[in-house]
Amino acid sequence: MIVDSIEDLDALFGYMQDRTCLVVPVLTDHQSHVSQNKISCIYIYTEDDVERLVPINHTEQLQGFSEHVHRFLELESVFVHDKKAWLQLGGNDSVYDLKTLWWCTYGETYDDSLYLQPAHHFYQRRHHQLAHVNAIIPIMQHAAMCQKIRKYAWPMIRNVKLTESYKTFNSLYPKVFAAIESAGLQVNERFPQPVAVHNNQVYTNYNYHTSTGRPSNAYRGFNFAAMNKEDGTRSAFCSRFEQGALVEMDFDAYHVRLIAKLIGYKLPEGSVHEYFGRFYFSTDTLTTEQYEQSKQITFRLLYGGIDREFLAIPFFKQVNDFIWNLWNQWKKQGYIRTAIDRRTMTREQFPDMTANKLFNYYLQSLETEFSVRKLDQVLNLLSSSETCMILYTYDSVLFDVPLSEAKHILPQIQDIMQSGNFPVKCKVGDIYSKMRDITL
Amino acid sequence: MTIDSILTEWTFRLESGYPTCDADYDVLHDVIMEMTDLSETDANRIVTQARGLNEDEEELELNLYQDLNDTLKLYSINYIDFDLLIKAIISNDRSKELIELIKNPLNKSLERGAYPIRGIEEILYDLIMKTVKITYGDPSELWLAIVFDGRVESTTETEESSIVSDVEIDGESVSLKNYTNIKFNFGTLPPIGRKLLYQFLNFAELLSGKQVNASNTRDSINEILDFLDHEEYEKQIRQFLRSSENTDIVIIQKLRNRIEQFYTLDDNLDKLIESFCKIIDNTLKEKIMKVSWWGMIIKGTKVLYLETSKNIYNQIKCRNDRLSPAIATFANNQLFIYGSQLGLNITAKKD
Repeated sequence: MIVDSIEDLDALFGYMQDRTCLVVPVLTDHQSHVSQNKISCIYIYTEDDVERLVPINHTEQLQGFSEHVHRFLELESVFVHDKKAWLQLGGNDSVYDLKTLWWCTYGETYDDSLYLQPAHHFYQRRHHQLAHVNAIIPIMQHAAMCQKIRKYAWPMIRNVKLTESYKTFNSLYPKVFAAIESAGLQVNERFPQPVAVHNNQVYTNYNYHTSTGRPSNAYRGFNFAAMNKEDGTRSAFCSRFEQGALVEMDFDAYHVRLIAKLIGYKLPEGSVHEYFGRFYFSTDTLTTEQYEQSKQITFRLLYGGIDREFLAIPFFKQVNDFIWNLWNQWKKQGYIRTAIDRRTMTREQFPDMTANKLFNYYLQSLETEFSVRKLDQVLNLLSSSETCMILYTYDSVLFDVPLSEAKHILPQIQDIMQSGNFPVKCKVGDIYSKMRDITL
Repeated sequence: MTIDSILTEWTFRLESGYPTCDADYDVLHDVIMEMTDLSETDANRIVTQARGLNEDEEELELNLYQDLNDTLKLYSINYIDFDLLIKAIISNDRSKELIELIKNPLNKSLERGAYPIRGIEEILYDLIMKTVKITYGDPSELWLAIVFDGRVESTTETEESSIVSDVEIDGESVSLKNYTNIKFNFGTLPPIGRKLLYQFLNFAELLSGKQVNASNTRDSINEILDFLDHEEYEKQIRQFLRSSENTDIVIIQKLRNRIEQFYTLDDNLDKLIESFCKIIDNTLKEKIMKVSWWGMIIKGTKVLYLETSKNIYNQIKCRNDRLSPAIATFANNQLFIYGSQLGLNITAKKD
C-alpha cells in the first residue's frame, strides 16, 4: 500500500490516468494554516479498489517523494478532499471538491474531526507544542484515517450526479476563498492570539459549507467575521507595505439593493434610506434623525416582517409578494433553490422554518452568491498586482494596497464592485481601527 | 372552532371571496394551521380534499401500488401490505418526489463504504419503517431495493434459517441487517459447522477442565484456545493417540476417535488448535459467502454500510490461531459480529 520506489510511483500515475480517483493530502502540521504547511503524505484511491499512500515528508518513509509533489498537484479531474486547501498547496483548479459534494449531497457540513484516529488525538495532544507532528504519527494511522474518509466518500463519488449547481460552486468558491486566505493579514503586537501569528501575519479560514451558504471565518479561536469595532481588536491589523494602507469597500444598503434586483424594482440613484424615508415620513427632505429612523424601519421590515400599513409602498408590496411566493414554494415542494447557484435548501435542513426566516436565509445566500462573483472578478484584476484582498465580511471587503498601486487599482476595484447599481463607500487607514472615508 | 369559522376566514382572505386558483388553497392551509391545532399532515389532507383531489386519490393509490410492485419486482410475492405505506406517501408533503423516486429508482451502484441516508431517501426510509411489516425480514430491504433498483427476494414462505439474500441488485445478492446495536447478528450458523464447533468445544472443555460461557463469547473460547496452545500439551495429546492405538477400552477408543477426527479435517493440520480455527473459518466462510454483499444499517445514525462478503470474511476469520476480534459471540447458534471491527465507524456522523 505504501509507495516505496519511483517505479511504483510511476506505475501509480499510469494507473490513475482516465480513472476516477480520490486524492487526500495529509499535512505535516495540523495547527498551522494550510498556506504555511507542507504535505506529509498523499493517499490515493482509484477505481478497482487500488489504494496507495505516498510518503512526502514523514519520519517512517524509506523514500520520500517531495520532488514529485508537483505531479500530484497537476492532476486534473480527480476528487480532492478539500479543494480550498488543495489550491493553497499549489494544486490544479480543475479538480472536484469532496467537501462541497458532501455538503450538496447530504446537506450537512463535512466534519474533518470524525476521521481522525485515536493515535492522531494522542500525538497531537501529547506534542501540542511540536510543529509538524503529523510527520511522526505512524504512517499506517494516516492510512487508516484516509481509508475512513474513502469509506464515506467513495460511494457518494460513484453515485452522485455532478449537477451544474455543484460544478459552478466548485469552480468558484474554493478558488475565491483560497486566494483571500492565502494573502493573510498583517498584524502588530496587539493581536490577541499570538499563537496564530506567523511572520507577522495571521490567516483566515472561511467555511462556506454552512446552512445558508454565508461563510463563517474563524481560525485558532479568532472570529474574523465578528470583529468588534469598539474594543480595539481591529487596531491589530495594519498594512504589510512600508508605504501602503488598508482600504475597505462597503456596499451601501447591500441587502435592499439585492432585494430590488431580485424583484425587478428599479431603485433611484442616491441614498436608499432617503428614498424610503420620504415614504415613511411623507416629506421631501429628511432630518438626520429621520434618516437614521428610516434605516431602522427598513431593516425591521425586511428582517422582521412587513407590517400591513407599509404595503402601500410599492417596493414593500413587491417584497411581501415575493416572501409569500417563496413560502408557498417551500410548503408545496418542501424545498427552494437559491437565487444564483440554484442550491437546494430543504425542509430537513431547516425544520422550524417560517416565511420570514426563509426569506432571510434566502437573502443571506443571495448575498454570498452575488458577492463571490464580484470577488472573483476583483481577484482576476489583482492577479498581476501587489494589492491583495485580505478579508471579506458579507457587505465589506478589505484590501491591503501599496501606495504605488493605489491610484490606478482602487478605481478599477470600485468599478467592479459598483457595477449593477451597487454603490460602495471607501475607507482608508494605516490600521483597521482608524479608517476614514475617502472618495475615489 | 367550527368548520364555518374556518371557511369564513378563508373566503374573507381571498380576493374574490371564493377560490379561483391553486394558490388560494395555500391560504386555506394557512388558515387551518393558524386557527386549529391540527398537524401539517392533517392540514395537507384537508387542503387536498378541498382541492377536490380525493376522487383521484384512489387512482393514485392504485398506480403507486403498481409502481411499487414494478420497482421492487415483486411479481410473485403478494404478502407485503403496502396500504399504509401508499397512504403515507400520498399524504406526505414531498409525495411528488417520493413517487418519482419509486417510479425511477436511483439505480445506485454497489460500492464498499458508507451511504448516509439523507434527504428524500431518508423520508422514504422513515415511511417504510413506520408502515411496512415483513415476516422474517426487515422493511429496510424495500428501501434498499428502491434506492438501488434491486429486487426484494421472497422470504416469508420459507423458514428464516434458509434465507440466503434479502435483495438482489444487478445480479448480486445482498443480505441486509438493520440494527441499533453495535453487534450485528449475521444469522444462524450452517448446521455442519455448528455441529463440529460444539463437538470441539465440548471435547476441549473435557481436556482443559475449563468451561465456555453460556453465550459462547469470543473471550471465553479464546481462553480455552490459550490453554490448548502449548507444545507440551500437544505432545501429550499425540502420545495419547499413539498409546491408545491398540487399546481395548472402549471409552478410550471413543475419546481417541474424537480427537483424531479433528486432525483429519485437513492434511496440513498438525495442531489441534489449527483444526479448531479451520472449523471456525469454514463455518464463517459458508455463512458469509452465501451472498455477495452485506449491508448494515445503523438505525441511530441512519447510515448504510455496504461491504463485500470477501472482505467481511477476511475481517472475521481467525487470526493467529484465535477468534478474530470482530467476532462477538456464537450465542444461540447465531453469529454476532462487532460492526466497529469491520471498520464501520459506527459512532461517526451524527444525525
